[in-house]
Amino acid sequence: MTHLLHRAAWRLLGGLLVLLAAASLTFAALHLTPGDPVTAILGGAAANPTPEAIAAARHEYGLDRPLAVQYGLYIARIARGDLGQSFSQHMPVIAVLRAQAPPTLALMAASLAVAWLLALLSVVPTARRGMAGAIASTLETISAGLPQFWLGILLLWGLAFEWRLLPPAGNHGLQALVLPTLSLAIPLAGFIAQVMRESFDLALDQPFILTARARGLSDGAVRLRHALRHALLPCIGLSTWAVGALVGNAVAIEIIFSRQGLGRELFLSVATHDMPLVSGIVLFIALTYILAGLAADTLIVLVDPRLKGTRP
Amino acid sequence: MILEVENLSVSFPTPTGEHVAVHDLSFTLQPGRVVALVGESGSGKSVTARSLIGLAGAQARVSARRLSLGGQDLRTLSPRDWRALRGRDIGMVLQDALVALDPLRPVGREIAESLSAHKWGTRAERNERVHNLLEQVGIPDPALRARQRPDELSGGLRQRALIASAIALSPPLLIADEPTTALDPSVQAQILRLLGRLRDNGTGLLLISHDLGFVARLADHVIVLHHGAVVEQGATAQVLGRPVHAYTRTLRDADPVRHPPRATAHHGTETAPLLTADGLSLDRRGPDGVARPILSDVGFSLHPGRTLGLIGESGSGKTTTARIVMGLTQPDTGEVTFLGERWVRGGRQGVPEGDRRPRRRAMAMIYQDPLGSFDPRWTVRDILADALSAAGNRDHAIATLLDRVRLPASIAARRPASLSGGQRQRVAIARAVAVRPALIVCDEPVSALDVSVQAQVLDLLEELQRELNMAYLFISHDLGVIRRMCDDVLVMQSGRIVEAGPAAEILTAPRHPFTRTLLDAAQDLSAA
Repeated sequence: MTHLLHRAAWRLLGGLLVLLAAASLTFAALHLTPGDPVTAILGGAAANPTPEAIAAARHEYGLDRPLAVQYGLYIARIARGDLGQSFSQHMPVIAVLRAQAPPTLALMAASLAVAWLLALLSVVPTARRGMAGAIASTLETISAGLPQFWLGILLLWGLAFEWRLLPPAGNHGLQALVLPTLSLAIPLAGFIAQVMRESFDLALDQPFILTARARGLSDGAVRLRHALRHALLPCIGLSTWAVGALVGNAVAIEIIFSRQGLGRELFLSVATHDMPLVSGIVLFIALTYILAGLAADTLIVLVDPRLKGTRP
Repeated sequence: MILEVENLSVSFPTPTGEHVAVHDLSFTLQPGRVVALVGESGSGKSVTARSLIGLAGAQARVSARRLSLGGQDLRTLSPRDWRALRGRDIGMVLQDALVALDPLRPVGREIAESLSAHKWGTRAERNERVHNLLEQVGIPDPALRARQRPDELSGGLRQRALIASAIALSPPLLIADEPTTALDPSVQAQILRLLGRLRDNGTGLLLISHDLGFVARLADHVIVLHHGAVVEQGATAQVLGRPVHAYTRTLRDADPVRHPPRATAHHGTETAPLLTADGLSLDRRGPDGVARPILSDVGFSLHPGRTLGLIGESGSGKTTTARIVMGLTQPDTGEVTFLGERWVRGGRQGVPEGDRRPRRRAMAMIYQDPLGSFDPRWTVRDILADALSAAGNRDHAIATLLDRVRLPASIAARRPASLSGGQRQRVAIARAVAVRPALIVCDEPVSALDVSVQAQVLDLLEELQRELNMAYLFISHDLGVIRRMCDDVLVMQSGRIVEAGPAAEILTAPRHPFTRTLLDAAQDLSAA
């Protein structure tokens, strides 16, 4: 029991360190890139503010203090759970997150689910089956190499404009989710399927597969009940990485499909030097990533009970 | 139900033409009888077994003049008919249950699957049958064991569970493909008794093994295969007792049991010991966080030119002892002295590697499977040149070294993966002696080799020991090998030394009950 508590404490500490690192890197990146947040605060370059107004705003937001002090105040504020006010949107960062996070999380969840489904459909029936396996494997390699934005534009042109099957833009309903999801899911499915195929092939060569066949089990049952479980393990680890990659790729996809969401918001807030909003979004993404890692660790032990107690 | 095989041939297409794995094999298997297929790796034993249940693979071309089970022609079966037959009419047991049972599932579910694959009974009936089966193969507390995975069971229990899954539907015929290879002698003896009981209850057994002692105890009829062809077959006593064919004689004579025991004491213990170990202990924390002893108070000494054997069941601490001697595992307490100076000191403050490095080359290691210890991209020349340069030696030494381990010089350009098991082990030995060590730690050096190759490698190790006056720390589960190689023996059980002394004494008149059990088990197996 103390052993379990011990491990939980280490996990928590690790998660906090990741969040601190994410916050610090965001701070550093925004102060190293050219541009002035004050312009954003005062309504963009077009507003043409007076020098006095700029100085006043600088003082009001604490931007005239030494960098180290700004950093200390920034970390202290985040530690209290206060993500601050967005300069560009003039509302609390929390409120922006609350509005923008659900569409992005939905997009990520849908993409991950569809990617897994495609990978399973591609690998399970074709692994170690001569021609079918070779064709599926080639398709997987091609899909893994497709750039998401290019795929997005292609889908937009074909399915939305030429054939008018699906809405080209927006956030309304499940239909609007289809094209952005496919754009993200197809390349990811290629990645997951390549890893899954390799371990699936390896699993099919194991002696316990021969034992299972010698029991009179059908090929389908051997694949689903024995080989698949072994093939899942590396894919679960890969999916944690995919959660991180999906956020990055969502930036382009949300812009192409004019969707609301964190990716698009992140892009806009970086462009306007909206420091509090950028760090709020980055922290949220880091938190999602940490939770995904935790979920993956739990899942892996469920799939491979031998690992119980060996994972940190 | 009788299995009749007449002129069975199996071949596989390869880029260089048809490879014939089995050629013109004929035999009959009846209920209550045991037919054994004997031969070395690559002789076609396993391919035969798989052909009999239609699992030789999509590439395989199986032909026979007659292949029938209980009157049913197996040559024209549809995939569906094959599935109905597997497990119900013919069961199959493979070697090493750790990988022959799905490592992610409890053994109870594996056994239940043999029933559900044939739509046998309801879930509750299947559970009850699983418990009965586990009891039948001699597993105590079946309700608990059914819920455990193979890695949570001991070697003997999981091999029995594997057999239980094969006999779940009481098939009249059972194929056992190397059912005891890589198991401890005591476990082998248990499995032997279990298979004997199945035979007595009317099961027909096709036994595949390279272990002649095991075959002699169980089989009625022996078929000796060599490169896919039958070189000899007949009643067991006749084939193994008075072999006609040269290959069968080679197989029989290669059995280490038939080799005279080591002529010991030609070099005395009056010299200072090369290595002494004293009070070695090591605890390891289990998954539940509770520390358990792996080694307790292990001590011994080893003199130049002598061989010390380490015997005991798997998990008894043999390999851990070897790793501590190699300086690869740090013990909690105890001390090892090597070449007169401290080599290992237990606790947090170990001997720094820098102090050990000058003496490192005086100690070498040979593993059970050397393939993993070679860089797959290196040729034999690269491997040996690397070892030689570590010893500060250069130029034409590679040819000398290969000659010393009786390998042709032409092998220098090849990579380990393209070598046979015996050649690989010779390269590993060449690498070990390249540094002119005073001590070689041999961890199951011949366990993965065929008996005839085994004998050659053991000969080589003996010759090299005489030539170079090296000491061996020799780990093996095979008492025949120990008897032939060792001057002194340590018997280990659960991390402790239970008996130590001259090999001739311990192997003939053991004092500790555990040693006696080990010897009895080995005796059971090789009473041919």
